[in-house]
Amino acid sequence: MTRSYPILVLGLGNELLQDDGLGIHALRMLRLQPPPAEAILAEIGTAALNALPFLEDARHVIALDAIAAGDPPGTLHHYTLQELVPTSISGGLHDLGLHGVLQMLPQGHPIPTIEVWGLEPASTELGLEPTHEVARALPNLVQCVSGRIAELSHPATRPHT
Amino acid sequence: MEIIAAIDPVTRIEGHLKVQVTIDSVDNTHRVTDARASGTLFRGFEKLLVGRAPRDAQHITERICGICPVAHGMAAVRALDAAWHAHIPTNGRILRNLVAAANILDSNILHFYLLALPDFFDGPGKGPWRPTWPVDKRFAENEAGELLENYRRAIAVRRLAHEVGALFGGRMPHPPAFIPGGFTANPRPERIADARKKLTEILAFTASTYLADVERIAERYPDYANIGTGHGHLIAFGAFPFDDAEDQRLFTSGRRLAGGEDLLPLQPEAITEEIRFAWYADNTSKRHPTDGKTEPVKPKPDAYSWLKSPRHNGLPMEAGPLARMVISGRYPFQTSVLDRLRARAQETRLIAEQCLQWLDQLTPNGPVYQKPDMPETAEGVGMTEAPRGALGHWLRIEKGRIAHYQIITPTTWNAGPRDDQDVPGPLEQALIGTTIRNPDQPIEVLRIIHSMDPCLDCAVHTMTPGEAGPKIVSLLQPNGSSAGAIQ
Repeated sequence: MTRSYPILVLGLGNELLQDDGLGIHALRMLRLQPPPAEAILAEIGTAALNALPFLEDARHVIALDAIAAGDPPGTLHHYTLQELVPTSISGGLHDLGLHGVLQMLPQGHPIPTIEVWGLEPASTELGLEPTHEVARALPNLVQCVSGRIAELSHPATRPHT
Repeated sequence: MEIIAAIDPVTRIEGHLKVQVTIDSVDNTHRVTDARASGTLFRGFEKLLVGRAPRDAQHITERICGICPVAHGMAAVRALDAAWHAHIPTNGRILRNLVAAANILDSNILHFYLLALPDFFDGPGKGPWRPTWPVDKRFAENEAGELLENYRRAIAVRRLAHEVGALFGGRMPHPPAFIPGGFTANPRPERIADARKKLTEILAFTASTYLADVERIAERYPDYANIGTGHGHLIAFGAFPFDDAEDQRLFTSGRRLAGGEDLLPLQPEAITEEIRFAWYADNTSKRHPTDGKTEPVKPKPDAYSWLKSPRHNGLPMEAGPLARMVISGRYPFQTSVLDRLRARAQETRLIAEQCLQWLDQLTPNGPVYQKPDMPETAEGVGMTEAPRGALGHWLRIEKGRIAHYQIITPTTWNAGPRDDQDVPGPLEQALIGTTIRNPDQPIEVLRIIHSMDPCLDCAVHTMTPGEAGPKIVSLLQPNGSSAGAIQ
């Protein structure tokens, strides 16, 4: 029960708002695959503070979320957290987001690397299902994230020269 | 000279709130003469429920937001219990109490240390202390250091509360264990023991540290016992039944009116929502939630919020920990910034103590659920107390499906706009009349707002289709400096 996992996959967003919940839908699809030995999959939803206990144990974090970058709906996005969040602004707790939660790690605690994987949303209106465009793109997102988990679990050894 | 300062968004709250205050300056004395609180996002989660199976209600409403999911689950199952005349076994009642209590403990500790306290002392140059106005900080460096250390401990302690909720609720947030007729988890002895350990630690922190830190604020900021008083009308829906018939509860329902000596009963039929200043169709005003309508109209002249204005007998009422502590006779009847902080801390200790007793009353592996008859046509109301105050769900079932659903949240009570008679909402009224030291950095306004802990995520009835988000005119710059008042 106390074992720690070096890789943390977080499903973020509100699943009542169509594509806003795509991170959660992607996480549930990942769960249907054979469980990765090195990773824990956590459905966080809208209150990122709830991710804190998991963050303390993690070396690598993959956050799944809707990413609105102005591209066609369903476009695959992949960023580091630093690329997405201006570092000096903290909003509400709900808005606080992952970056703010990282600031609450105990002083001197190693900060995990954080990558954000997601899709361009088509709609964040009320609805329990993602839109057709996003639903069609989800399997590819899940496959890419699976691949990334495998890479992080077994980093390619540098060939001797 | 009159200036208008807009704080948008107000940070360190949940969701998007814009507060506009008019500050009038006469002979170098600055005073708030008008205040307008605007929920800037439209949400209509109730619409998702219509046409669905009734027992989806708790699972969907719990997912409106991760901050106080449990209260929505509780209100939804209570509405279904009432509709179906369900009988809840003792264990089921206690387990519901424990999970709902754990969410309030979590939320109260989080509110004081992460959302309110940063207004009173300067911490590290990062969140939650940035952005801020670095004014009127009255603690010496060593005291600020102690408060900072307690803030760090508070983060660890609120997690214990979260874990207690998950131990019995199955997970946190969005616990799946709430169900009409009871609860789905059995109180296994090892879980009871685990919860006891965590609750004991929460109680120890609250008694020795949280309460003491609130008193430190009271000592350094005695003026805040008279700031943010507001209308002074309080309302509670009540929560935490002590017995299966619900004859006795930890928090009773009721009302107190400013200047009145008596505890007045809650009259659920006297609750209406007014919408003159909200972006909804005018002919839907003053409706009771059982036939409430949510018909967005924007633009609309004079309207400035997506929140409706709930009223009880036509009066604006403040909800929250202070209201339920006063109404239960556990706190003197007075309202201010300090009273809200202090009542919340005292409530935290009371609830933690009570949770330990509830653990003793559980019958390990005893029954938790009794299946109710589920008639295809039924009506029910679920009233309870969310961390931020009175929460109600009103539900009608027709042909076995949800035909009507309305939710009134505590923040709608507190942060709603003016009503049809132009009477300000509780938060607005708490701001009006406040003396401001520096109109460029009205820290008093932030302290009052934070004392009411508005949470807009479920209060506001997602963005209007095709409309861009609100333009942010913020006094708060990323570097913590002031951009100055607008206009």
